[in-house]
Amino acid sequence: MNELRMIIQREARRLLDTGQADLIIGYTKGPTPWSSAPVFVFKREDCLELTISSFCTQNLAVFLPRIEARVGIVAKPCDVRTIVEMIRENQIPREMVKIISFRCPGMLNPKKLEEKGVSPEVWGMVNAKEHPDALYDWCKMCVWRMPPDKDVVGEPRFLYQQPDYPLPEDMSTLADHLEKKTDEERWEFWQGEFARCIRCRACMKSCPVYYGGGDHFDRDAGTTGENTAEENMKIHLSFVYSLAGKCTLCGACESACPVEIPLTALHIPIYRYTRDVYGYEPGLSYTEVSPYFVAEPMPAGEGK
Amino acid sequence: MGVEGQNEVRVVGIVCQYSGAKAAESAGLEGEEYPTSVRLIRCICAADVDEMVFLRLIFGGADGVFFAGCPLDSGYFRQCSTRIQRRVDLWKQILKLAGMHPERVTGFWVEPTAGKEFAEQVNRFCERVSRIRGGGEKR
Repeated sequence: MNELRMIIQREARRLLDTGQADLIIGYTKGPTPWSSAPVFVFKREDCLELTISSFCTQNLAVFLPRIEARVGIVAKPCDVRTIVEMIRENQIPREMVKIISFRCPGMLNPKKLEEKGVSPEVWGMVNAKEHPDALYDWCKMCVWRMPPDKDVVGEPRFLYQQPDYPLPEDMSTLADHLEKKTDEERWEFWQGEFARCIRCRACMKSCPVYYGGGDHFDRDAGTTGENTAEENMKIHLSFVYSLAGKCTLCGACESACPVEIPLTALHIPIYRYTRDVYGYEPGLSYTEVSPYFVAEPMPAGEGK
Repeated sequence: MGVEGQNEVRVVGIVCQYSGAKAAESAGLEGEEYPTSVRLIRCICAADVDEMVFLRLIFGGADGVFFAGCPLDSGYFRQCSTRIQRRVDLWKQILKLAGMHPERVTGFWVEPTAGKEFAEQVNRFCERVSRIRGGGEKR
């Protein structure tokens, strides 16, 4: 991780020096040892603030549509895929973004680390390679951990790669556990989870490819506006539906949730379903379109 | 009027104005019968109905929701039938995830003049929904 930090700082300096970027968005140390925070770097000497750890769960691509400048952005492979999605959907101009990416070892869940008895000592010094069981669910099943073939990319090229680091013994995710349960048990489980929701919209605001921005929590958007489990479930299901064929499983929604609702247990099965049935995985190319929006082009002369 | 024993089934149909609604009209003209408790929502294209409409119906007490659109490969809008099909399949997956019965939603395609086929499809769906409800499943 230390090595990676040096590479990211070097590339950030290079982008600022050569004038390819006006600012760099990256990760810096968070308020607690096992956390991270976004940072905006405008000057060369501030690049020392940039860092990377196993706890950088935010997806920094959410800032991109609101910035009118040339941006260099530090992104995990899953974030790179959301950026590709955003460029494809004309949310950001392609020439304004420079991506600094790296081979991702996976992000660690502080809760699981605590359960294992690892004590938080120095900031971010826990390595994902030493604690594969503490990986987040979506990092466990990730196969796109190697983004482009260079550190700084203009045009991302994805290479499918089997991970070259230890995988956890228990590869099952919460979504798998829920799949084995009966309908009744699943309903009870989600009712219990969504009863805790405080309607803060953090999940929807932290997602770069969701454009609703949490408007469905308002009264006039088809809900009664009451904070009941069913109302919250309705809104979160609309979130899942809107993200089908767009979600790259970066996990920003779940890690942003202050009451720790396992939202990716809803997104992972839909991702798998889209992959298995239509063979489509979002964010891998600029030309492929999600099967839910446009079907295959019709042969000439047919239809209207 | 209506098929016996199914009057209490609360089914809502989302029908497009070019095929689904026209087929329902044809069914009326031809004297075909389907449960009187079926309510139809006429919209421009059944593929582009907002997701909150569907969720509001399902959570608001509808036993089943069906989408009726244009026949495959001759939709009024480009590829609308394929999109309905894919989205209905997606809704089934999402309902299953949430612990609801996936058969509570369906989609089919009718010619604007096929009143008989429309009534048949609706009757079949209502039967299925009432069986789900009769099976003691709450959701």
